[in-house]
Amino acid sequence: MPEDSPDRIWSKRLVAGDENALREAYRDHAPAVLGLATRVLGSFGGQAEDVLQDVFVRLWEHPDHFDPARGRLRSYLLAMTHSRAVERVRAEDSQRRRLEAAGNQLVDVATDPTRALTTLDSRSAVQRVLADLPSEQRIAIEMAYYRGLSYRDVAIALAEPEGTVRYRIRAGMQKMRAALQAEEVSP
Amino acid sequence: MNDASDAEDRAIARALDADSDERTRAADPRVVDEYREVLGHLPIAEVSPAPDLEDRIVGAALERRAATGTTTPMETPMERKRSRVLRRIRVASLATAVAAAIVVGVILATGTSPAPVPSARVSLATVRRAQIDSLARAPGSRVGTLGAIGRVVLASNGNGAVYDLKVDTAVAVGLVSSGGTTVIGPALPRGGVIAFVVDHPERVRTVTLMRQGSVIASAALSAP
Repeated sequence: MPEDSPDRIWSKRLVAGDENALREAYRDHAPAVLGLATRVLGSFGGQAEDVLQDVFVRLWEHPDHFDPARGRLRSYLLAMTHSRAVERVRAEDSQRRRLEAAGNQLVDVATDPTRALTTLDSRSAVQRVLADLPSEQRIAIEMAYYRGLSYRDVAIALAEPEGTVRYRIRAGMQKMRAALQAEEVSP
Repeated sequence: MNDASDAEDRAIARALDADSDERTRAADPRVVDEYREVLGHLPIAEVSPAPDLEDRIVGAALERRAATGTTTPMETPMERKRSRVLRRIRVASLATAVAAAIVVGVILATGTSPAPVPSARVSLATVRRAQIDSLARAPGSRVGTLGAIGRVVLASNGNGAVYDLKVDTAVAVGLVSSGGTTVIGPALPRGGVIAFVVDHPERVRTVTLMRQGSVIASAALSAP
């Protein structure tokens, strides 16, 4: 990444304690952070704003943890969001309730508005690949990511062996990774 | 499963938070980052936060680590793409006397400054209309009209305000002197008022309002 890339310049400002750098990041990324937190938290969506605060306070408190050479700020923030939301869900929800919810959401996942968005939206190669994945791979990935389910919980919800779920998720994720890499090296 | 698949699985599981820490701790951080980047491209239905959340969250962050007072004026995403232009502007910070102040002034100067520019900050005090009228009547006070957007008053003791503001979004206030422009904010008007304090009010000739780096109104100060 070049020395004068926007993320690198912004990162230096954040490390230097520039409050406006934090506000810019918030205005750019808070809607996505809150959207993902709400999605993962599900019935605990009331805690999504707490996750939003956790994420941006931590970004400010440990600005050196974000390395622009390792990825985009959006990806860094969403990864942190996912972890925080999953921690909360797993701390508060009993396994039985989560699996019941996951079972109920199976149909939702397959007919999810995001799915329609993915098929219509050609914003990125990753999204196109996701839309074209075999449904068993796509559903397993969506349950793990959007619902915050562990491999084990996905396996139970789908009534499949955990090894099968791992294989499906790995296969789908590898395809999306390859698509992203190809997109990044293309002119 | 072979070792390569196992390593890949650990990285994916870590990126997805889908397995225990014990099983994913050995994942290659570079591969985990690559998969987090993949997940960062997945579609998300964005949710707009409540308007007051930004200040609450920034306030909570500042309790953990204070801002240094070195600020660059706020940029929109489009403006960030034009960051090369901004880097031509020399930005120097002004230390503020009040730790609780949420916004500090910055000096924007192009070239060498022939005279020092005043320091200024937004006042957090709630200012009532009677106080503004009192400021305007005080000996040595100067006033100006910011087009159709609002008005400004600056007293000789350094207390000032832009008021009757007809904007409900954050704006920055520019205090123009012969040495350059001191920019305060952006700040949200409270009751149509942004109050400020400046250390050398006699140097201020013109007051401007700015939004996203562009001047939207300007007032030359004169006696009422």
